[in-house]
Amino acid sequence: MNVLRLVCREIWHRKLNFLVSLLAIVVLVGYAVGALTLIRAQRERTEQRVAALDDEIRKITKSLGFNINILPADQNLADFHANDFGEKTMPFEYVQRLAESPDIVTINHLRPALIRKIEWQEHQRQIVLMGVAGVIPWTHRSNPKKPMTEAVPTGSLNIGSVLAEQLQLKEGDTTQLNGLELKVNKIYPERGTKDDITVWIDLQAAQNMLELPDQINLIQALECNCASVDRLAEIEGEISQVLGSNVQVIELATKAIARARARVDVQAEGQITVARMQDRATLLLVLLVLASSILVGLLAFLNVWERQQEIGILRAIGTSTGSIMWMFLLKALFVGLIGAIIGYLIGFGIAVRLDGQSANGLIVESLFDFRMMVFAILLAPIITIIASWVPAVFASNQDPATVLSME
Amino acid sequence: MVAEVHGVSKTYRDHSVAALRDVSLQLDSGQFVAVCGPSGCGKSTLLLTLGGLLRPDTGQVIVNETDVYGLSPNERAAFRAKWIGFVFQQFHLVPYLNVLENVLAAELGMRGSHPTPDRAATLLEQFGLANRLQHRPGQLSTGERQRVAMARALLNEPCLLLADEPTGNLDEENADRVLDELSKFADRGGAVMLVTHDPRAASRAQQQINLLEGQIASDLTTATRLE
Repeated sequence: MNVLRLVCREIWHRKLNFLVSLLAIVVLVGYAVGALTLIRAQRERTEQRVAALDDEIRKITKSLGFNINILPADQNLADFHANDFGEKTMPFEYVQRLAESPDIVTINHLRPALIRKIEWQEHQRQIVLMGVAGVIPWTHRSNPKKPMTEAVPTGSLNIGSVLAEQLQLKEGDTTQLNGLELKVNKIYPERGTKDDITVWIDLQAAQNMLELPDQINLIQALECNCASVDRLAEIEGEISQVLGSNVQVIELATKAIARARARVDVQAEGQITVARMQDRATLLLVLLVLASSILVGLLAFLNVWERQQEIGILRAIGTSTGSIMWMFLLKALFVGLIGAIIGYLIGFGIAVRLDGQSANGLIVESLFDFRMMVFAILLAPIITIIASWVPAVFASNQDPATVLSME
Repeated sequence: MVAEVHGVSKTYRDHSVAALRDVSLQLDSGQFVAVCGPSGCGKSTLLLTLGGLLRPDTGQVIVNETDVYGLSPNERAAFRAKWIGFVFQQFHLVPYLNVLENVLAAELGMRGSHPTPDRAATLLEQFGLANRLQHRPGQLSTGERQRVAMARALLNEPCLLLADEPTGNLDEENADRVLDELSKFADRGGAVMLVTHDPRAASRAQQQINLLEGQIASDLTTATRLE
């Protein structure tokens, strides 16, 4: 005979006492695990939405290429917006200054361009000619993502889809552009913009063709963190530090910006929702811990009261106070352990069911938190042991002579 | 000498009358003593004091050459488990343990080597309970329950057996059976103190001590009583 066997037999004998205590812990742990799992699901859902918006922003930004345009200070913006390019030019040296400046840290690609509407004399039609070059600021030259700039190789051209189709040009063909022999390097897919009637050539070739040596009329800049709207002012600050008042910076009111703002809003809203859930869950959890502890403690007292005679005789026949205490604490340990395991399973199961998206979107594995499980399984027995401590001490201090004389 | 009580007095805080007043007695090996007297004369107090369960206000209790109240509470518990057996009128069996487990409950307080379940089973067989090992106390008759309590008291082979009205709830046949077991224990060299109201039970003892108002009024041997 040992205390463990005695405890198991007593639990089986007084099932109701044990089951009510167990229920208190199952409700406590079930609620705690359920609430924390739902909060976790909410957090993950927010992160997923933010990640989806991030991805969308990245794709939009990539297709748009650049989200900052740097123009000569004297360029009339009304004309720029009307024509999609400006007549005024600025020295190419501006790009070099930007590229070499240690102050430029948020921009990872610079694309100087010289844009003009010209007549393609060989085909007698109006096109947009864009001379471009790719420049990487020195602070980003080790960035493996730098190939995003699409410089056109010397002696070749890139062409929009509508123009290529009308002129029956294919990649690899050779064609004449105002006397300059160029190979078709790439035909862009249809974009539904002026890009479809644009020809891109190497910047220097364009400068020579347009007789504007070392001149450009636009610098397109791509910031490092495409999703960050908060850093636009920072970018402008960096540029003005290098080029002063010689240029003006305009932000493209792109879908990317809207998405980025939506991302920030989703993130903030998600954080508020999670914080609200956490506050409510914490309050209820504290109340539940108190209520469960009191209930378990009272049931332990009731158990001690019911077993006074038994304790008295066990003490009389030599059972130590430690063993008597251990009888009650071991029972409390069982209540805590079994209650925690059942409570965890029920709480997690209900949370997964309640969180409708879990069944479809978030997989159950992503909601399972091993640390939470271990925490619940360790904490619940600690609570039940603390709650049962006073009744256990009371039991172990019972005077067997008094108990045995009571009959 | 198995047990010795020297000048023991005990007054309960909530009673103005002293339960024991300067009581002294000795129990030798093989001695079967009955303590008699009217209700409230201090019989049970004397038994609990001798059993190491109730500290006296004054005096000394020696069992097996050990000053019982000189031990710490846990040492005293272990001492009781090893050397003292108790049998009560109400049996005090643990309701959720079966007969065998109830007897083995006596080993809970044992330090060092424990008696084996075989010994418990043998004892129960001796008490005519071989076919009741797996029964709960609630499924037994009162006589059977008292025999289980006797087996539990004897499991650890104590030197002193203290019985408080063990036949109070039993019919004559079962009472005789219990008293026979107490006599056999004394015959094997143990000391027995039986607290009883029952003159028939007391007559089975070799010595009868009558208590009155916490004092020994008379101390009669069997021979004296027969005279």
